[in-house]
Amino acid sequence: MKDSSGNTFSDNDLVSRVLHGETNAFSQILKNTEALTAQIVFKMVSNAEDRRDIAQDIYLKAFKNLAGFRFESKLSTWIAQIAYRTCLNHLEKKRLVLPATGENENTEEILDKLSPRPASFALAGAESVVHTKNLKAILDKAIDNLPPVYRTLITLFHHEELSYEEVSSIAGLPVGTVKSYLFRARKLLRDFLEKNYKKEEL
Amino acid sequence: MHNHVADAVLQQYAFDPGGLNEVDSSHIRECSLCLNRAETYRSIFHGIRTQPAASFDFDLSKAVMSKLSGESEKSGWSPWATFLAFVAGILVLATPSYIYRKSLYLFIKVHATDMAGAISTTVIYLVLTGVLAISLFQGYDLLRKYQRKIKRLNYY
Repeated sequence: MKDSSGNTFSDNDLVSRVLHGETNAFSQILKNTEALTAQIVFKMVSNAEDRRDIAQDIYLKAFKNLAGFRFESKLSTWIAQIAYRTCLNHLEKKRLVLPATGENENTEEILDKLSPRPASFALAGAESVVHTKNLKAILDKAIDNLPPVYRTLITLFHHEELSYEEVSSIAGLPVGTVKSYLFRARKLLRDFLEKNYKKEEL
Repeated sequence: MHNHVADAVLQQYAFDPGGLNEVDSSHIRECSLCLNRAETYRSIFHGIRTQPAASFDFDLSKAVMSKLSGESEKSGWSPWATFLAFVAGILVLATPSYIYRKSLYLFIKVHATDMAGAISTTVIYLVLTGVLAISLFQGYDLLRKYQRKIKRLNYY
């Protein structure tokens, strides 16, 4: 956000302005964080009407609890936490299936050895494959088949390019559990693709 | 080829080929099955990364801000109305008492003995204690509600 002098307001400034009565500043917070919130809501809630209500509920909650924001994380992460929890409550109310909480220890051991996100994501070899016209549609279908939590975590990590720690903070899960869920989600995607499509289609 | 590498290793290879040890890397490069799987992972990662971002099909900002304005208007008069009603109540009770204070004093003085005879002291104390306790709880609750609303009001 830029003010009349062209300066960018930080999260701190925006929060402070809202708490001092400048309601319009909250509109700016909303605009700054809407994209991440939309990703979470869309991945966790399939019904369009529910999404509409939940999205508004998330920001009303954020507004009411803004005084409790302690600047221990980015404001977008804090609002994403509210979004995730609100969606999770919605799923629980609707009794939709959530992934099991148990962790596979063998998987954990292997995942612990994984290096953190590389600075540049090497994709040169994948470009030609990915440009296959149908891949996006196939992948969309595969992602839609994942449980909502897996869908959300994999989107936050691979699409939003958040770190394990940020995803962990948003989901309120230990980093090891996030890694485990991501591993399983990727594996499910690969299995789905390999079972349902010939290699040439990918 | 046998002893194919684990899925976690394949995922790591697809994600960051340089992050693997040479044994696993060379196996993947030479094993068509593992290489195919790694390529599938790579396609998945890239496919997710290049998916169009989700966005709401309505003006979220407008919807939220109008709700906040609505709440502001509602909570804007409520604490003051409560406060005014409280003050008005006190005035309604206190004004006649003040105006007719002499008559009231005489009335109490004259009938005090009869009243005391009719109602035992214990009952009076019990009633007074009950009234006082209820008043205290109600006053505290009113104060908390008022403070909460004022706090929210200050955000606008």
